[in-house]
Amino acid sequence: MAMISTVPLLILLAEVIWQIFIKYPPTLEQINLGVSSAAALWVVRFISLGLLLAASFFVSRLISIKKGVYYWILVLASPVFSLVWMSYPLDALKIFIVMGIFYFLNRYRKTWIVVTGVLIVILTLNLSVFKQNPKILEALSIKKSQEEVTLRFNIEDKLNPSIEIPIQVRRIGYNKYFAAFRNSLNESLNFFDFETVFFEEIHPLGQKAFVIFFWPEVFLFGLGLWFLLAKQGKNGEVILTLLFFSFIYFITSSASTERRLFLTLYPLSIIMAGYLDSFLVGGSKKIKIGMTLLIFLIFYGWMTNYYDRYVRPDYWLDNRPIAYNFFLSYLKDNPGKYDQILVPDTLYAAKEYCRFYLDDCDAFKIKNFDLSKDTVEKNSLYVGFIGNFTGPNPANSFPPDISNILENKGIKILKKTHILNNIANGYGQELLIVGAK
Amino acid sequence: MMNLKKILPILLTVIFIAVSLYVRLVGLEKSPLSIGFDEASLGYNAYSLYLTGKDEYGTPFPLSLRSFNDFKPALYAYLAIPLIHFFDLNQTSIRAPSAILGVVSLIFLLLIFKKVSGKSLLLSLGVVALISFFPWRLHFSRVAFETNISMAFFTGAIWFLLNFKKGLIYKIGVFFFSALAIYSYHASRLAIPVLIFLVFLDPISLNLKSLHVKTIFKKLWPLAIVPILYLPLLLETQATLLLTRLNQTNVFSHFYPFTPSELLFAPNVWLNLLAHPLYYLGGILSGHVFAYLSPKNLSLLIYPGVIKSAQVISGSGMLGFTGGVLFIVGIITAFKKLILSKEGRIIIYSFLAGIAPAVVAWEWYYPLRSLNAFPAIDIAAGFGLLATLKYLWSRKNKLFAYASSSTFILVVIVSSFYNTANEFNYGAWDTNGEFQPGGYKEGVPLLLSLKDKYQTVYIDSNQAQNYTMFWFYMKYPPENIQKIAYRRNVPGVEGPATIDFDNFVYKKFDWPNDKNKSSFIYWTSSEVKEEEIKVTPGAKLYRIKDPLGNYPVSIITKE
Repeated sequence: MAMISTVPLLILLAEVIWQIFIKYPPTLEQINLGVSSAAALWVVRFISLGLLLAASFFVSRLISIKKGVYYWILVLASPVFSLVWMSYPLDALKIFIVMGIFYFLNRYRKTWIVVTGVLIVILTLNLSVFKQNPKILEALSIKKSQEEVTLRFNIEDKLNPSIEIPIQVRRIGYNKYFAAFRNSLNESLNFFDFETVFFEEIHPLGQKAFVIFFWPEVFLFGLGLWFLLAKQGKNGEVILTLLFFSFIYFITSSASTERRLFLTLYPLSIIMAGYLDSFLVGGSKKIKIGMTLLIFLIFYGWMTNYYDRYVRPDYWLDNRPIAYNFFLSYLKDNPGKYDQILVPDTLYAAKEYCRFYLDDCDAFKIKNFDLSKDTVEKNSLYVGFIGNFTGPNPANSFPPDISNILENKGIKILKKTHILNNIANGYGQELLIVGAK
Repeated sequence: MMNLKKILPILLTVIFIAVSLYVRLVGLEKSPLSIGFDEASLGYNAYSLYLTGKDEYGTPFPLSLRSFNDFKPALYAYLAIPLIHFFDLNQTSIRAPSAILGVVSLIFLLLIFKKVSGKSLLLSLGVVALISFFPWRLHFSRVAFETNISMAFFTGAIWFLLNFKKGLIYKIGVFFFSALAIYSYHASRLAIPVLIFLVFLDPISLNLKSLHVKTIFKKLWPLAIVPILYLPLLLETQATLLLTRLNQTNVFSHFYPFTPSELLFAPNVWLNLLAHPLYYLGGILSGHVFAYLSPKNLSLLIYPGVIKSAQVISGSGMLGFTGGVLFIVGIITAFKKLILSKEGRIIIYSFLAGIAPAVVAWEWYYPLRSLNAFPAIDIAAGFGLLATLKYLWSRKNKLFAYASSSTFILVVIVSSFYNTANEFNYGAWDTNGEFQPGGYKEGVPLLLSLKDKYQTVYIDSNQAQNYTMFWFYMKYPPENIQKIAYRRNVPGVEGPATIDFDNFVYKKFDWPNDKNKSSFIYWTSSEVKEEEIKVTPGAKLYRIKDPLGNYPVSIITKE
């Protein structure tokens, strides 16, 4: 038992070591917070980690499970936990505030106070403080719904031949209030998304998001839910309240899906952890073997995920920081005097990022250049995607090697890299650093 | 008064059946706009069987239709024959079996829901009446889908399984409906044995400690009858080709080596210690199961590979938004009841059996292959509806209870109206296009009136296997097609994209060269420059307008 209680600490240690080893560059959110050195970046990251640990601690204090250690293992092993403390300090702050308020309001022991209080906090943070522009607001718009209904009537009336339906009957289903209700419900249903929560390692249905739980955990969730529903397990009220807050947090935010779903990490981990012990201790030999196999698979998934993120960081993570890191690290290692460093507006935050890497950022100029048309300016450094040098192509199709084309113009590729997904559609995935003397 | 209490539920059931039939049969000629390739193939084979007793390849009374070398189970075509006899070959006659059996499935669903929920006929009828307007219930019954009729038979088999111990007639009923399901759609050939196995083994209630081989055999005796149901299929000449469809669609060949290629470091994929293929295969198979429990998928999604075809439900997933919400509530509130009762477990097993074929198919979420799971999903949604009503109705403040319950019912009813209007007309914009050929229904009558006046009919189309559309709408004599069967692709490979028949010849539209030829008709979907045709002596252009107001086809004649 003593050994199992050290597992969360070991996971946390492994996580920190891995983050130090992988050296993922800062995100724009961190840069905008004033991060201008590696030391500041790690200070912000450790503060974010602290906030998330505190938020997770608040939740752990509200639940009653025999082995709290399982809850901690599941939360700390989650890749999305890793993502948020590494890259999104404001998310960590939001989560800390929401869970903190939830924890402290619980002392009043009145459900309506807790629900109302936390609801106000989530709505204030997402809609007012962080100015999120969630899709649900558009779905609820009566004006938009009116337009949709008018469009439906118009195009249906053009259909010839069509099935005759009296206008009054059509109006029952086609009216702006019902359309707003339907659209908002459709938008809300995106919350109930097994694929993003459990199956992102497989990347199903063409949707890509950061892994929240490893796929074997879906079985743990199923078993936990079974216990909760069929055997009236503990923590039902806390789980339901947390799920409700997760839902409100999801529909009122507009970040990437896994960040919007972050709060589900807590209720789902509670469901899984709460009953794991019952199976491990109280189950038959066959059940114990099955559970051990499942735990091994989860452990295997955890290791594989680290390996996957190491091999394919550009697949899993935001590729803009990787792009900035590529050319700014080059400039740091190869200081040269250029009259100007031209960067296209697809890499619009180059000046902000520059402060993290270089001391002198005066030469940076954001300009959406097109060297297939523009004249090459002397003693300039051009940083851009292949489309900036050959002219954009909507099909993202470019020649594999353009060094000859550029040499004919008197410029030379100093370094290039491949960025996995398009940052700028029509400009390709090759990012080049090109010098003109 | 007593009489009314007895008569009312029966009367309402009759009204329910009549309304269900009406919304499924009305306007089948107009909506969905045009038949799809598979519908055309089923229809033409039914026509061929009706006239000659042979399918389009000349096989007498087959159990599987070779069709596009996908060996469609033939039962649908046989069921369409009486309708073709009375109403001729058209969209309505080929879609009507699906519509009628869609209603039959609702009757079975009503009986099942009543039995499993223990509620009165009247209340069960109310629940099933609302379910009958779920988007998939409406849409799949208005298209000639073998999977829809198979689902109806599968639902029948579930009802007979629920009553299995009542007598011999119910036992026979199980196998009769199982056989019908097996002979109507590929997916049921796997789903039926899985269903029988799970229901009779009852693994949820199985006591692992006291498990003996003898007990298992005793429990599973009905499974021994299942192979008999497959015998006629196995004895058919081309029985080995039944696996064709499985080879075309299975998950194992499609995703191999399962692990993303960048993560493979050992030359032998199975020697990768990290990111092992088996880990990813496990994830894919598990994901296939859970995809059918995801409320988001059930409410909002249809397999994305079928966009702009009759397989699409316009602007919705299978259950629609209300169905999706009710499913969540139903799963949470009825879970315990379903697990603890034998009847409930049969519903769970029917869900698992229904998705079994989809689990081994390569698509992540493809409701057409797993339609047999949807009666169970509907039942969960039905429980959700009852639980929501019960919750609202039991509020202490009676005014609130009445108002909230009425509002809830109103929302579900309004959704039904919306789903119906959406299905009848608005869907035309989503069910036609890339995968749904347009212009055949409107253009073929003109082509038919012209074809004998010209030496050659050139067909230019980027839609593979569109010859079936011509045969269907032309009611082309099947004997002529049977005669050219020897020219068609050998079984085991995908069907040929084109087949020249009669004076129809497939070729690419090339007006600068073709205009010098004489006595031909061109059927083309290419952009035709009207001026070029006008200046060519003896050439005439007919543009074919579809109900959406588009011109998907041009017919050019040249003397």
